[in-house]
Amino acid sequence: MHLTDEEKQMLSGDAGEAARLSMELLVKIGDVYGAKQMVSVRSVHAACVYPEFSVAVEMMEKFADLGGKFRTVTTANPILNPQNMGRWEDMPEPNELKQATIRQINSIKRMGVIPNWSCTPYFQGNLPRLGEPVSWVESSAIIFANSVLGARTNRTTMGVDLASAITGRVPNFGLLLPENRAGTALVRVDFKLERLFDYGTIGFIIGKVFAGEVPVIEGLPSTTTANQLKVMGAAAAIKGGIALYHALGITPEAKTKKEAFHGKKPEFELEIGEKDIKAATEEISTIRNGKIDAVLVGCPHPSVEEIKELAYILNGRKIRKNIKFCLFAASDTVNWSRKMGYIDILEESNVRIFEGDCIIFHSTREWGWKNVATNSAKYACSLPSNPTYFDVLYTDLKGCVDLATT
Amino acid sequence: MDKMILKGRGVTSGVAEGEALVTRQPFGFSHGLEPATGRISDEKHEWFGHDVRAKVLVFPYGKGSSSGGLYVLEAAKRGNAPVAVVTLDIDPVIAAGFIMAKLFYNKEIPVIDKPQRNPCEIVRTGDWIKVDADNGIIEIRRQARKHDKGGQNSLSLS
Repeated sequence: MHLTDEEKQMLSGDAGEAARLSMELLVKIGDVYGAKQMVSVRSVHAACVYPEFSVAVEMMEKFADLGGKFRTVTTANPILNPQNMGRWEDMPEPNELKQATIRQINSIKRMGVIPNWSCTPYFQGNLPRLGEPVSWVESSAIIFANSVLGARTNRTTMGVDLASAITGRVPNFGLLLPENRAGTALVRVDFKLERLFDYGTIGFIIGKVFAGEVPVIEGLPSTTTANQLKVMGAAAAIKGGIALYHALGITPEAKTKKEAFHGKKPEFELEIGEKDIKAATEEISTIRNGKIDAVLVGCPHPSVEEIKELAYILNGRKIRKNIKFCLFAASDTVNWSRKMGYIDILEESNVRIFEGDCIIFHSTREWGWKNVATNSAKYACSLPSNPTYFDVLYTDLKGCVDLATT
Repeated sequence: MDKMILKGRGVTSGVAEGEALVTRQPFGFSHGLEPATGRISDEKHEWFGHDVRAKVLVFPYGKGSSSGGLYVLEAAKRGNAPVAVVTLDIDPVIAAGFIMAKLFYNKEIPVIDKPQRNPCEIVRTGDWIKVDADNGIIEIRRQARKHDKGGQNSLSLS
């Protein structure tokens, strides 16, 4: 791989040990994927997760102890947030886990992270432009950056994100190269999408049918919002490992079909109609009924609009005593919603608000949780496996509130 | 004992050998491997319940979330990772896990991908397999088994 003088300096250790270790990791990854050079990045979204894994804590500490400082705008994914640990009596957390997450958080803060603790960094000021190479983790954020913003990122893993933030570099391969961004499959949506929920279901279908492809979606209304695309992309990414799609007339690399497919013909085609949406909604649930231990909303982290909708549906209704209703959200979104009066309504109904957090980090097995309900297709796809092993009922926001209230 | 050589691309460095554990199903480390024990915890996978320690994993593709590299790293640090891996086309997030195992914990686990022929159709569970990632060479030796009969037990490129 060709390295610039500055990159060679980093690799030799002249720019410090953290930069040396980072550059060595990036060069090795670049070599595996045939990268000819590094490119500069100014935006990183990093992971500060899984404190129960000793390597996750040690790696963060190592980079910080070696003097690592982030050169990029660097946000971070939701954490096991100490402020939410032990906050509710019926959700206790072991002290060792709390100490581990605090160690991890302190280390990433020393390196200069913007502590947004959210899977939607693009709503918190980490907003790359069209064509900008970046290094992001989090499958729902990766697909948003690539598809909705037209920025360019590969699926980055923990460690590589930190190395990119410390060096301001990423090896140039995969989705950073324009030729790998052409659409390969055509999806026609022949259905009037009304609920945000339906966008998640469509994303699930796309992920299921077109795993590993670059789908091009035709037929989304011109009024489609970034928030709707957030929900759709999150489901497509978790179900099918999709890191990039194009939506004709909606996303920036798909003004025309010719542009989306780079002049080529799609290799596969699929039509999605009302029947498919109904069938998929059924298919996503792993249970139809039975006792629900908790309702989980806020995956990916919601917009203010979503919190407003929840407040309107709740409107004074109380959550039953034998069920927990948990909302996961970024702190800034919660703050604005509080100023608008929505959080008061949620708290009066006994909704438990987890700021900057995600359910997957919590000790839910010790709490005896088995069955959950969610309006998130991403949660519904991921929670049945490691580490939560929940059975999931997938229903829209109103359905979630109905089954949790009297 | 038959012997066969396949050439591929060394993703990491090092040489190791062991008994092969083979599947034609995609395998995800983030859903499948329990780092504390080295056991396969994915109930839906045909490897469920197997112990990967001392084994060479042979699978077609990775799947699952981008935390897969972390599962690899934690397992490697604890000595609960496979001794080597052979796969068709390694996912960047999994490759990073094996590269970091060497970089952070000096645990060298040879990984080879892009073999000239599909190893999932050639290697069988129980075969002895040597993975030389420095040179991109996979050496497969079929262990004679009592229940195998004649030709069925031989390795050939035909």
